[in-house]
Amino acid sequence: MQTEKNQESLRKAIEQLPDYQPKPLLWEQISASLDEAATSTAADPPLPLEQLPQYPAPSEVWNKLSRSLEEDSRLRRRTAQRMRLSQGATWAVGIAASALVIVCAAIWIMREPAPKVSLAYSQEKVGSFGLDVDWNEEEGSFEKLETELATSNRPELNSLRQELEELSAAKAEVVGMLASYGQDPQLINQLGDIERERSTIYRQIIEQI
Amino acid sequence: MLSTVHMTENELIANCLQDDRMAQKELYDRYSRAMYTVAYRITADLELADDVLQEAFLRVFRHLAGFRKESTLGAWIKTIVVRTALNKVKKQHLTEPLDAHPQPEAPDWGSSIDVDYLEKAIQALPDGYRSVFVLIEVEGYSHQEVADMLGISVGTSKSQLFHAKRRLRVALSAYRY
Repeated sequence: MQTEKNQESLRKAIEQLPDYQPKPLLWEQISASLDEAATSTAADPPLPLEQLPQYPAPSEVWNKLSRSLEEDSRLRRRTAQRMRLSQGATWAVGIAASALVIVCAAIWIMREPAPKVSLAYSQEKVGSFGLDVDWNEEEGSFEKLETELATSNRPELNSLRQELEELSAAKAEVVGMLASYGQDPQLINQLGDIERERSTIYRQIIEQI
Repeated sequence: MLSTVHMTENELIANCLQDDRMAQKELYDRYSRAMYTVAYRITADLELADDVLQEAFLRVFRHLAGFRKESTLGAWIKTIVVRTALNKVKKQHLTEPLDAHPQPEAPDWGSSIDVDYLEKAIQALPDGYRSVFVLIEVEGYSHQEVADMLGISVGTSKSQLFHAKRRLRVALSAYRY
């Protein structure tokens, strides 16, 4: 900005500016306002607050307060319980969701074509039953019985003796076949049957003797 | 009892704090003329200046206990009067739109200025220009103090003063003819 010219002229003029006198009435107004303020203050003397009496609270106040506190406590407990239940429900929902996922996965897996199961089997001939039965082990007893029947000449035992001789002959024939054709299961079974019948006849003969 | 007329400023303050009405009147008498002048210069309205003075002195007496003697009592009272006056002048008028001359010339005050014309020219200034001019050039406040009182920047205060002076110069030239 440019510098002012002849600043001194302005300075001199400002110094000569007139003063102004307020109206005399103005102080009366100020004084009245101050009086008003003083009156207002005087009308409100300091309150002896510390001297005011004290009053004991009625017992109902505590009773009501106690009930309110108990209600608050109950409300807090109920809220906490609800929170726990809510958390439990959350767990249950989680578990249910997990189970659903598992079931869905199982269904999806089962939807897949079943694996092909091939059954392999083979027939094997039993070479030996492990029964190296000595078919002639008891043969001595049978021969002894036949000899005794022949010497005793008892007619009531003839039919049994004849049956025993026929079974002994059949046995001799099967044993001969086993010797010729090897350990054939059917021959062995047949031989077993013959031996059981011979034993039965043998027991009947002994009982009658 | 000591006459209030002969009381020192401190004694006067002490008595005023005791709600001594005589002391309060003495303090008012001592400063009312200067303060009324300030109030009138800022407001450019005698009735408004009355209101300012009454309101300001009531504040002075009510808050005298808060006077910390960091300045003279007169300066403290003037601050209260100025603030009260500025509150009376509408705040929206405290800064004026700057004159639309891109490079305004600095005023030339000439060899002499007629005081009556100057007074009229000051009263004719817009509120914003007048407030800044009066506070800085007449009352001796700094731009920083004026900026604080008016809530404007120092730069705004300076430019407002410059344009106020330009307006004054133009007005004084018109009175001359």
